[in-house]
Amino acid sequence: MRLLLIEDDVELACNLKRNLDQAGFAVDLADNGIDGEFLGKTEPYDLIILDLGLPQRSGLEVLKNWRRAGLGMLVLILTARDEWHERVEGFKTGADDYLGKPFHVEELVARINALIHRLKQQHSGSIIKVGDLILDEEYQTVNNEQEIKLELTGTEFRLLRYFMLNPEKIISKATLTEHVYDYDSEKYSNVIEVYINKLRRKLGKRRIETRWGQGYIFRNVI
Amino acid sequence: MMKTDSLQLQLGLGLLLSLMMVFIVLWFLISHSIRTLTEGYVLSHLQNDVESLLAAVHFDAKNKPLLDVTKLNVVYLRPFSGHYYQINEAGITLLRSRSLWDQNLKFDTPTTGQAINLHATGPEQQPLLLYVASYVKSGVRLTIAVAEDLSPIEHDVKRFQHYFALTALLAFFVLLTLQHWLLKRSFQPLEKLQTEVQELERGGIDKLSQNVPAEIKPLVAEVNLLLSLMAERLQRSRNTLGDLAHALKTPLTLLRQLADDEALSDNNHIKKMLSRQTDKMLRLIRHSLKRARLAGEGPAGSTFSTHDDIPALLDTLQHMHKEKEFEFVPSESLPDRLALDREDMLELLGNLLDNAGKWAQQHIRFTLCVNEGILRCTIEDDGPGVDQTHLNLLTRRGLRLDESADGHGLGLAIVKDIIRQYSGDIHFRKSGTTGGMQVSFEIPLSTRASCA
Repeated sequence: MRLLLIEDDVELACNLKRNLDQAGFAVDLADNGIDGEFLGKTEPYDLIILDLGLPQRSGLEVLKNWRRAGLGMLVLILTARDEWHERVEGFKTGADDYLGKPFHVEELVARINALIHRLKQQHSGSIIKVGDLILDEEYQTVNNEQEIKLELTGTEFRLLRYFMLNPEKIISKATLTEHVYDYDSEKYSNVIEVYINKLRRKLGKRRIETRWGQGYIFRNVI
Repeated sequence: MMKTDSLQLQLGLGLLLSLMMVFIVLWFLISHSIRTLTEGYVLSHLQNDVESLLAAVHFDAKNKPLLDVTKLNVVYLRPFSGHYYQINEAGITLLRSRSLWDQNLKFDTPTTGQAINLHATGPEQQPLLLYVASYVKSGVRLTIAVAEDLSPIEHDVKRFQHYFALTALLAFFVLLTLQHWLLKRSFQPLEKLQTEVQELERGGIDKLSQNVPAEIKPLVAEVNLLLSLMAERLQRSRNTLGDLAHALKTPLTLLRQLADDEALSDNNHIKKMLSRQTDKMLRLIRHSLKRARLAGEGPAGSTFSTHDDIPALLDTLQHMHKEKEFEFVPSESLPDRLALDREDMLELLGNLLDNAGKWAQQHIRFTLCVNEGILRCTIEDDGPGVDQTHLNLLTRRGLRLDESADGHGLGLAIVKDIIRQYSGDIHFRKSGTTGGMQVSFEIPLSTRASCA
C-alpha cells in the first residue's frame, strides 16, 4: 500500500514515515499544501494522510480540490485542529477519517488499516482473509491453508497485502511497483519478479498466476 | 399602552401644553382686541352724539338750557334703551334723556374743552361706556355726558369666546390625533429595528439594515461597527488560541511518540513518566484552550442550525462509528435556529454522542426539543452503562480537571464547561429502556429568542 503523508513538521513527518515503513507501507512525504496537492493528483496513492494547518495551501482546500477533480482516494485528516466543528467540516469536505494530534502511531496504523479494509470489504481488525489465507498485518505473517504460520520479509508482506486486498484481479507489474514502493525507491520490474517467486515458494505456485503481457492474478482458492 | 417614560406621551404632553398656552394667549388677545375695537367705535359715535347734543342745546330768556328733542335720535326717548345723555352745569343736572327715566349718571366733571371716557353701571345694572365733555356755550359751562350700554358687545364677545373655545378644542383633538399618527409612523423604523435586533440575536443576520431614517442612522452605524468589532475580536482570539494549540500539539505528538521509541524499551520508568507528563500537558492545553474559546451566549459567531448542523454532525459520527446506528428524534416543533453558538453546540453534542458511540452495542438514540424556552436533549446508548457511584461522580458539579481525568476523558470536562457557560444542567443516569447510559441536559434559551 502506498501512502502520501502531507505534514509540515519535518521531524514528525520523518518519525511517522519510519513507523509507517515498519508497518509495511510505502510512504511519500510532502511538507506543504501545493506540493501535496500535486502529488495527490499525479501519483496513485491508496491513502493520503493530510494535515490541515499546512503552509501555502490549507489542508481543507487541498482536499476540496482533490474531490472537485473527482479523485476518490482515501483521505485521513491528521490535525491538531480536532474540535468538533472542524471535524464536521473535514468530513463534509470529503475526508474518510479524522485523527486529532497528538496520537499514538498504533492508532494511526489501526485507522489506516481499518479504512483500507473497509474499502476492500475486509474485516475490521488487523487481519486480511482471502480464501484460507490469513494475513496478520501486526506481525507481518501469513497463515497458509494448513494453518502454518509463515514469516514474511518487509517487501513480501507489502506485495502479499496488495495482492490479498485485490484478489482475482489482473495487476500489472507497474501497478505493483507503484503501490509497493515509494517515490524515491529504485524501481526495477525484475525485482518484483524475484519477490513474486519468493511468495510462490511460500504459498504455492498456483496462488499467483502470470498473465503474459498483462500482469498477475492472485487466486482466492487453488 | 403608554408608559410614563414613553416618548410618545412626552411629545403628546408637550404639544398639549404648548397648544393650550397658544390658545389661552390668543383667547385673551382676541377678546381684548374685540373689546377695544368696538369700544373705540362706540366712543367715536358717542362723541358725535355729544357734538349733536351741544348743537341742539339752546338757552331761553332765563338762560336756562333747552333741548330740541326732535333733533335727537329716538333711542334717547325710549326708557332704559341703553342710550343716555345728561347735561350738567357745575355739578347740577340740567337735562337728561328720557331713556334715563328717574336715574342719574354719575361722573366727574372734566375741565372745559376736555373730554373723558369711563365705565359705569347704569340703570338696570347695564354696563355703560360714558363719554363726558365740558363746553362753554353762550357763557354757560356745560358738561355733556353720553352713555351707551355695552352688554350687546359683551354678549358678542362672549359668543366669540364660546366659538373660539369650541374651535380650539376641535383643533386640539385633530392635532393630537395627527401627532399620534405621525409619531407612530416615525417610530415604525424603530419597531423594524427591534425585530432586526432579535433576528441578530438568533444569528439570522450579522448586521442591522442601514435603511433607516437619518436620525437613527448614526446609532445603527455605531451598533454595526460594534458588532463587527466584537466578531472580529472574538475571531482573532479564537484564531490565536487555535494557532497556539496547533503549534503546541505537533511537538507534543513527537514527544509522545518518543515515549514509544525502542531506545527507551529498557527504561520503563522514563518511558512511563514521559508519556504520563505529555498526556497531562496535552490535557491542560486542550482544556484551557477549549474553555477560553467557549463563546457563550451572544451574537458573535454563527448560531446552531438544527436543520444543517445536526445532519452534518451525525454524518461525521457515522464515519467515526461505522457499525453503530445513530437515531435522531427531533420534537415536532423544533425550530431551525437556536440562539446558541454553533461551535459550542457541535462541541457539546459531538462529545456526548461520540462517547455514546464508543460505549453503545449498536444503537444510540438522541432526542432534542425546545419547550418553554428550554432546550432539552437526551442521549441514550445500549451499552453496558455505569454503576451508581460512578454516575453520582459524573453528575457532581465542579469536578476538577485532574479528578475528572480518570477514564472519562477530556470530553466530559468540556461538556460540563459548556453546560455551565450556558447556565444549563446535565444528568447522567441508567437508561430505563436499554440499561445503558442516559445523558440528558437542559439549556435555557434566551427568552426573547424563543418567543420570536
